Amino acid sequence: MSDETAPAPRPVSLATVAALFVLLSLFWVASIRLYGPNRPVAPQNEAPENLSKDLAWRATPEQRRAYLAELRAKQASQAASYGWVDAKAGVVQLPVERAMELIVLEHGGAR
Amino acid sequence: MSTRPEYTPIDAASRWPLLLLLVKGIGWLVVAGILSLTASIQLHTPGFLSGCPLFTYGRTAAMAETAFVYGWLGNAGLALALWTLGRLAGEPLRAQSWALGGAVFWNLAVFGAVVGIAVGDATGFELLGLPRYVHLLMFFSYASVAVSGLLAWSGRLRQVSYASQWYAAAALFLFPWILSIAHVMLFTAPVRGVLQPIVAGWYAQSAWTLWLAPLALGAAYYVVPRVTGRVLPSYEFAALGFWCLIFVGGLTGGRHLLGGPVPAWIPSLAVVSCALLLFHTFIVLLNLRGAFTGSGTALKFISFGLAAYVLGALADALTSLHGVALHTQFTYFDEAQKQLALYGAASTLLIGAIYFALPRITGKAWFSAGLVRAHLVLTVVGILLLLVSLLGAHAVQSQGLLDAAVPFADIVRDSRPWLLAASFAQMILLFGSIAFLANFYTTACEILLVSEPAVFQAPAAQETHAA
Repeated sequence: MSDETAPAPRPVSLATVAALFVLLSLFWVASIRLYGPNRPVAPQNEAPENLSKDLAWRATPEQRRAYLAELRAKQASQAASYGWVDAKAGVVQLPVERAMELIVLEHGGAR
Repeated sequence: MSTRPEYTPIDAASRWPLLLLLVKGIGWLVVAGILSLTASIQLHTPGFLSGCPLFTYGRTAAMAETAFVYGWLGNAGLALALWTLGRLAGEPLRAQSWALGGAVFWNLAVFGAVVGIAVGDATGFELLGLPRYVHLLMFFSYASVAVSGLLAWSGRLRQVSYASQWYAAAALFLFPWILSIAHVMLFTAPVRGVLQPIVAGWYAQSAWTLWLAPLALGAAYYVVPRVTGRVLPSYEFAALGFWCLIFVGGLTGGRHLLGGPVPAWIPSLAVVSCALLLFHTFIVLLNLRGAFTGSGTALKFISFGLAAYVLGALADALTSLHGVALHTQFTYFDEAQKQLALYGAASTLLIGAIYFALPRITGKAWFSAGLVRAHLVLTVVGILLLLVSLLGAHAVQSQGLLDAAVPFADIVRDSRPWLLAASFAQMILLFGSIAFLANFYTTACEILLVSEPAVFQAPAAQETHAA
């Protein structure tokens, strides 16, 4: 009843509290230990010195931007110039504009 | 009705952590109500607060969800779990300073999460929108509160244990585990591609089935037999229902991924698990059916919550079927289902238990019977109106989305009246929450303002009066 003296809670040792924290942290530790090391790290999260040569461009945002700019310049150049893709097989590259004209001619001629 | 004295020295000795968690929880309920109303208005009036980046729709919706789940349900669930475990242990809660400290830091973490979402750091995952930098604080603060409950569980003076203890202790153990796994797999060492929605779906469903539902059910299992004064019917099956939830609950996450680019066995497993989970739901209904025939505010809330819990489980099982999901996926039905589970079931079960617990914790009757009645009416009407309006919006969406000839703008226009009704429902719920907070605050403050010892009044009689 309300007029009874409230009993004091039993004391708890720090070791008991620590043990319970460890118990509750079990899955955190286990998932990091078991899953973390086996998981391949994405190149952007990897330390630059650990990247292979072909992936070195992914190390920093600046390198990724430079690589993208270079790639786009190369693609733009290819899309606007003549050249061999496979000389032996007779496959050539030609500007997109010219390719479009040829397609129109080809299909327009047929019609 | 029980004739045993209900206000015990155990309650008096354990009240401060419980009151702190409860007052913070109900405060978050009001905050979540304001944010939900804002998000709801933005759905039909996109210009509302659109000039303020902190409160655009994506952020207000995520903030509302975080405040509701981690602020309200988390605090209230923890308080009731500690109270239940402490009472059934037969001694005052131990390690109360850890629980108090944990409660303070838990609420700081929730506050940090809400602010973090407002400034654009939300993760975008359902029920895990909290910025990653608060996860560690949440984990340790939750563990700190849980220590007190787990000590009460492990050091209980009676050898026999009850269903309410199983559910409460399971919730205390399981949340840190599911949070840690989700954190590691989504943030510390993030899985890639399609694995991310699988892990996120698993977390969202597990947070419901393995954390929030056990917290709410633990409270209900404790309160119902106390109020009715009768042994729970078919209680021998309660353990089966509990283990069914624990083993099967986490496997239902794949139901969110039906038709998605995931291995077919994942949604298939979820379909089977949702059906198996009906067994658990049936046992809970069988055990707690006395709530429907009892009287008092606590039982009215609990019976409403129980009905919502059963309906929610049926809806989960039905919508996990491909033919049904075709009509319900990516519509407001998902939102209705979520509201049914979180607000309709978990929240009302916890509110019912709080109406029972507070007079025992403080030794005081609820300050205003009128506010209790207002809260009950506003909550029930608000939830029902919210569900009906979201289902109406779903019907419009579902028909329109399956007809390629219907422009999307027409679907948006036709669903607007339903969304207006949903906003009205959110407003009603907010008023109910404010009434609840005011009543709780004034009741709890009485023990601070009155210096003489509380005079015991039978809380059961107070409840009947309030009802």
